[in-house]
Amino acid sequence: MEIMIFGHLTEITRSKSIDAPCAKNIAELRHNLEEMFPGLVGKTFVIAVNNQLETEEYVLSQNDRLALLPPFSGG
Amino acid sequence: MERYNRQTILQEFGEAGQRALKNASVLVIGAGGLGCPVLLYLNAMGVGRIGIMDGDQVQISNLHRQVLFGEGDLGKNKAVTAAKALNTNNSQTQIDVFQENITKENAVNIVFEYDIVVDCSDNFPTRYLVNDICFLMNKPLVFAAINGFEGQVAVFNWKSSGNYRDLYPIMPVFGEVANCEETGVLGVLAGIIGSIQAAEVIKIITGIGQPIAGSILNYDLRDHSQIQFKYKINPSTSPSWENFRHSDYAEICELPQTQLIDLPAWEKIVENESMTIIDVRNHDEKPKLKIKHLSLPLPELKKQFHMLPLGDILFICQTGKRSREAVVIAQSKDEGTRKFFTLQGGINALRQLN
Repeated sequence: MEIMIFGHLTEITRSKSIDAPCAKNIAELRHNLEEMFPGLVGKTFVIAVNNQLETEEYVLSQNDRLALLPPFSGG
Repeated sequence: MERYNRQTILQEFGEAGQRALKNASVLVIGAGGLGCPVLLYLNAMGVGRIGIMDGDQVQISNLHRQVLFGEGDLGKNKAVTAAKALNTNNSQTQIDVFQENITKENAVNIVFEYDIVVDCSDNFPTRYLVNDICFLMNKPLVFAAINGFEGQVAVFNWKSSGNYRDLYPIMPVFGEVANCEETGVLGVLAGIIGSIQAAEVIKIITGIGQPIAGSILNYDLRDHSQIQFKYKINPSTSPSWENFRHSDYAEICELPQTQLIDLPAWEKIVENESMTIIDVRNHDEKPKLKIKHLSLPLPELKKQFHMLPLGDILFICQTGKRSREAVVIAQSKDEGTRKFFTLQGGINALRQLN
């Protein structure tokens, strides 16, 4: 599954776009991502599916467009 | 008026739009990278009353993006200095200067005075405080934040458009997200995002177009890509007066290692029932815990703290974030007679045991 990465999370993933193994829901995707990139553990971010922020139970399908969006604080 | 002719001749804006600006009052919190362009345009375009709130002084490292200030302003208060600069452009604006940062104590009286609040602050405690008070007082809030080459903009509390906690219910831990001082920011990014923010204020006041409501805009300067992410309103994370009164809106710091429970320690605690385990997730969250535990959602912890059983307590949630906040809350309520712990990685981490 292709995932777009935003903000400072790209410092952890080293790329604006990554490929992750298929996951059945967001909780599993989050878990997989944390194994691929241990730097993500404990980081605050929400996961968007097709440009809509979704919660942990959301069931994913193969062609979903995914994105990791962290909060910014700078002004 | 000649002064505003180039915008009043716009059919959609017209004299009515100008009157609406004249009658509007806007509070700008933070006169920094975002605040400067917001203030420049709201003032120049004819917003009748502008409040500027900032307790900081101008520093040399601000000048590359905080374009209202000059070399002669170093060391001076930003709100005072910004007001002077604005006055040279448009002397008709009523400008209220607050040489202080927003706090729990001053927030209600100041926010009450204005139609719209603009969050141009640079730290999470202020952003959560501003979000909460605007939600509680039902004031439209134009939010923006920048990081590196990217910016976020959203309009909250406008025609039921939700609030920041619908996206990020809990404040990140201190140091988790670096600020402009640490990661750097391209000067012009603040100009672009601040200008989008000013445009949203103008749109709300005049009714022109469609503000970024119910979604958050992410802008990337490197390729000018813009994506809006929709979010759902989650009443269980909404601010309440109760939480507002009890929160100290201070940076949440990492807990000492001794209060973080890892999986081997977790298994021992469960086996020996050596302390009370409390699940601070909401009642409807899954998976349910199969071990002996109590359930007390985080928003209720402060009110119900005195009902908790005596002895040490291990808090648990889905990811370890809310349980960490529960430890901080419990420590502030307790008289120091017992210990509080959090399960690292939360229930998500327990999957590694199966």
